Amino acid sequence: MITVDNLSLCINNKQLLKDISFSANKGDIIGVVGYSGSGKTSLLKSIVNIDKKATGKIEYSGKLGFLYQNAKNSIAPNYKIITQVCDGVGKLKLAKKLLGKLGLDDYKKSYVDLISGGQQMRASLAINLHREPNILLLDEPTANLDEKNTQLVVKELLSYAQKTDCILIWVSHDMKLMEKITNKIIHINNGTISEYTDTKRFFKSPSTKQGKDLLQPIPIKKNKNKTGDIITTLKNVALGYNNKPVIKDLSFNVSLGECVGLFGESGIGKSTIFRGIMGQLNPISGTIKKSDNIQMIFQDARGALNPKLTILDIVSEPLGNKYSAEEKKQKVIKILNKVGIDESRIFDKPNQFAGGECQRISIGRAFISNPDLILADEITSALDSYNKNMILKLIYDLQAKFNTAIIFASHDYEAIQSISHKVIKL
Amino acid sequence: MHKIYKYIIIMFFISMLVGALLPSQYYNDMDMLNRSASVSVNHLFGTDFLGRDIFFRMIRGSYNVGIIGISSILISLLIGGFLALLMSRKKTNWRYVVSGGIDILFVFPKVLVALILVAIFGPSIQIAIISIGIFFIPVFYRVIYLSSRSVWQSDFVASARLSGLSKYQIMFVHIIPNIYHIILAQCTIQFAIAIVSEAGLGYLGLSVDSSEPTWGSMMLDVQNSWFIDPYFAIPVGVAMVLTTFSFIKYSERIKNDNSR
Amino acid sequence: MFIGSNIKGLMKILIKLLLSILVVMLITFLGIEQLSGDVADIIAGTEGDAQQIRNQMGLNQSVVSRFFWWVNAVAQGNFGNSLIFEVPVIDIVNERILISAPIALFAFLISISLGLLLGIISVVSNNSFWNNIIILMISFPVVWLSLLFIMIFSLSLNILPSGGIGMWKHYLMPCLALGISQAGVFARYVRVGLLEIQNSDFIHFYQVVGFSKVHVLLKYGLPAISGSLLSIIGLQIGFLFTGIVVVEHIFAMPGIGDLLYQAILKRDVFLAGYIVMKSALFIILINSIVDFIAYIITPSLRKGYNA
Repeated sequence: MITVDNLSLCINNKQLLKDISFSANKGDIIGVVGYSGSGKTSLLKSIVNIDKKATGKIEYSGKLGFLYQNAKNSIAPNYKIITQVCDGVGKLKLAKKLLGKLGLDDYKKSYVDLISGGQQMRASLAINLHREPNILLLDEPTANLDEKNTQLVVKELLSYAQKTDCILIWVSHDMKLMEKITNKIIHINNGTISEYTDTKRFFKSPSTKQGKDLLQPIPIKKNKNKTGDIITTLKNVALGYNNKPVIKDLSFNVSLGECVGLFGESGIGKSTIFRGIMGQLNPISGTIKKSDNIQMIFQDARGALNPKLTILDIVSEPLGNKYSAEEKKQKVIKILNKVGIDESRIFDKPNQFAGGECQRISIGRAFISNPDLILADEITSALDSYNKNMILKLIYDLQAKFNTAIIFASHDYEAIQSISHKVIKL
Repeated sequence: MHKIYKYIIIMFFISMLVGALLPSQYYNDMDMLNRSASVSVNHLFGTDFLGRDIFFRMIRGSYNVGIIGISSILISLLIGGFLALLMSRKKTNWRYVVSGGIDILFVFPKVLVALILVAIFGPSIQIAIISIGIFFIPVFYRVIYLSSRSVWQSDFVASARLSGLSKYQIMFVHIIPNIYHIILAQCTIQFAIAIVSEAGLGYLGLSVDSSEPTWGSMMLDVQNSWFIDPYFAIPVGVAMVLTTFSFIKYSERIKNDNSR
Repeated sequence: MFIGSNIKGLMKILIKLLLSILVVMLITFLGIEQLSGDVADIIAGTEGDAQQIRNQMGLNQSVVSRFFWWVNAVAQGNFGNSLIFEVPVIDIVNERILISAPIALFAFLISISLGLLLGIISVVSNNSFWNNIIILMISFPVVWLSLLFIMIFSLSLNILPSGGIGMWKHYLMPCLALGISQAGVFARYVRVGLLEIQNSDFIHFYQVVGFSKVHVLLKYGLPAISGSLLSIIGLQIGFLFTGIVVVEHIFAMPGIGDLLYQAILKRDVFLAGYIVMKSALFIILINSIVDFIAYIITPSLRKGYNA
């Protein structure tokens, strides 16, 4: 059982959480949803309040557990997995059985740096579950996982929760998943609780506009004007590092106005393919024919913008030396208008924009010089469903206008399907 | 409360400026009748065993120490920093050669370098600068290498590459502005370390020649007059500690301000 | 432990070791060369024939052959005789090492243990007081701290001798002065390292499941930064060297540092050369051992995984 009363968090003069109050009982599985940046992760961290920065009353009974979005950082690098599972708990035999159930038998004596992303998350799960927590806090644990690993993790968590009546507080962007497994929903907006209600009721009719926006399905909109100029061709390409191929025998082409989806789980080699196309990596075999006018949009929107520059400088960078300063400024204003950023903000720096806005700025930068090809690398993976829709719609609109070729890499099949003309499964 | 560090640093630089302009009589004249005198109106902190005014020697000393600090930092920053910027761009085999070579500089303690140079050339301010500077090169190299490497691998640099920027353009537009605060903080700390190092070297007579005082060489003067009056080392010692402390505190302030 | 290890990493350490040795020997040799020229004149003075002395010392042959002759002699253990003391260089040095070694060792131990303690305390207690203590310790140059100690304990309180050797009392102040000033430096590195990882998720996690912050930092934090701490320890040896020379001078202790000081300034090439070479080699050796240990205990380096 857990009760939270008037939880507030203020850091660097920014009010991240304000007067959060809710309670949950044994067996509750609560989904926490909301826009990116609305305070979901802050909420979880404030409940455990390790650095004591949050104020308010938090009461709970039992042991806590925590599953982080980035499993690698949540496991100590210098101890074997099995050692960490048993640390402070013992019960070696039981631990081995648990690791076996999660498919980590061969890796229990290994270290976190040496196993794959999916394995890291399963290891983190083992470390948590072996301790038999009564309240488990989950910060988008499946966001970076492929289908297979996601299903495994979800299955284990649910079966554990059922067996022990553990409370799960689960932050996620995956609305379908939330609808399926939770019995209550907390909708957070701007650091406060917009709504705390039964799952069924929320999904049938959320009481706020933001709630409704979150539940919009991704519209399928594919551009009709495929103009057929093939701009990039890959023929029997093998790509890899140190002569060890990560990608084997890949062939496809992309035309102007076409959107090609690259679908595969994290770590399978999508970034490698992009490096090959950009010319940073030479193919081990096969040929890559590409244009020189390429731009890219990245997964981490904030990391893709130089924090020391104004967005005027950032967005005008691809324009090179061909234009005067005034011309550049006009072009920047025009493209920012198209992506929904007001021109009065061109002298602001990235830290003055929200995450979703940063991604839009990034998109503006990608399209401003009218490149032949744009590479989109997991551009929606970190976003809530509302922002995801918005970004996809933006890409669709801009592609229509500029007739750009786009290669869209993602592990989110739904997102790929919505705007791609053809999908390549890796 | 933390304003006090700023004031001490400002006082130091003012002292440096005054010291630069001070005519040599003030700090070199030996008042033979008043040797090892205690505090008086004529001599603010007293005189040393040769009758020289301690207060003015401290002021001039701050100038010399400051020059040594600033010069050694400039040299090592330019050499170490430039190499680091070049090496951090991408994985080349040169990297092992360069970083290995620079690490070897770490092996030579300042004392060794100073001793050898002084034995050949005699003590001078250049020797102090070189001995300390050599040791700073690997420090700046490591710090700048690590911090610029993560910037080189960032997405916005990848985007700049796609937009056709040359590596020098990227260095000036993207890399340096993002590591600037780290460099500044490091320089401030290194200045503090230079003061402490010079204290040791000057004490051993391995810093400037005897026509100029430094805070380190004044420690040596104390040693020479041990049985007469050792206590006139106190003002110099206190000055050293206060100045060094303030610079280190200030460098932390720079780091904290930037992570906001 | 080594099967399947990253050979590249081991090779790097080995090559660094060999190259460093080569560079040191070259520099030592060239240094001796440079000074020898004057030495012949000094020995000759007004009486002897400088040229004859040069012939005796073999200075009239080519540089390269002299280098190999020197390396050969060194390999056989013949380092020449000290010009000041007129006995084999090795003998004097070995005598004096017995005086310097305890100082260096104790100062080293004090600096590492005190530094570790202070660094951890300054991170665990959110109080900036401890951080200020660390900075204060760094701000005291060894020479000033030593003088202060002498003023207080020898001159005022008269409970410790201000110099010389012989009893444990003579070693107390030198070791403390050197140890304390070095402890500050090490503490700072410990502090910075811990501060960097204290926001990591795994540090957060183990506190969530119930361990205290101190426990987590000690058990999980320190090992995570042990690699960089080890290389800092390697550096400390270099700092210690400078400190030893200073401390032996202040406390008038006839150890290696003092010997080196005299040797170089009095142009005793063979003595100086030997000490310089030995010290540099020692420092290189320690650094290589430290690199090696860091290599062994970092799992990711061992298997050659590039993070």
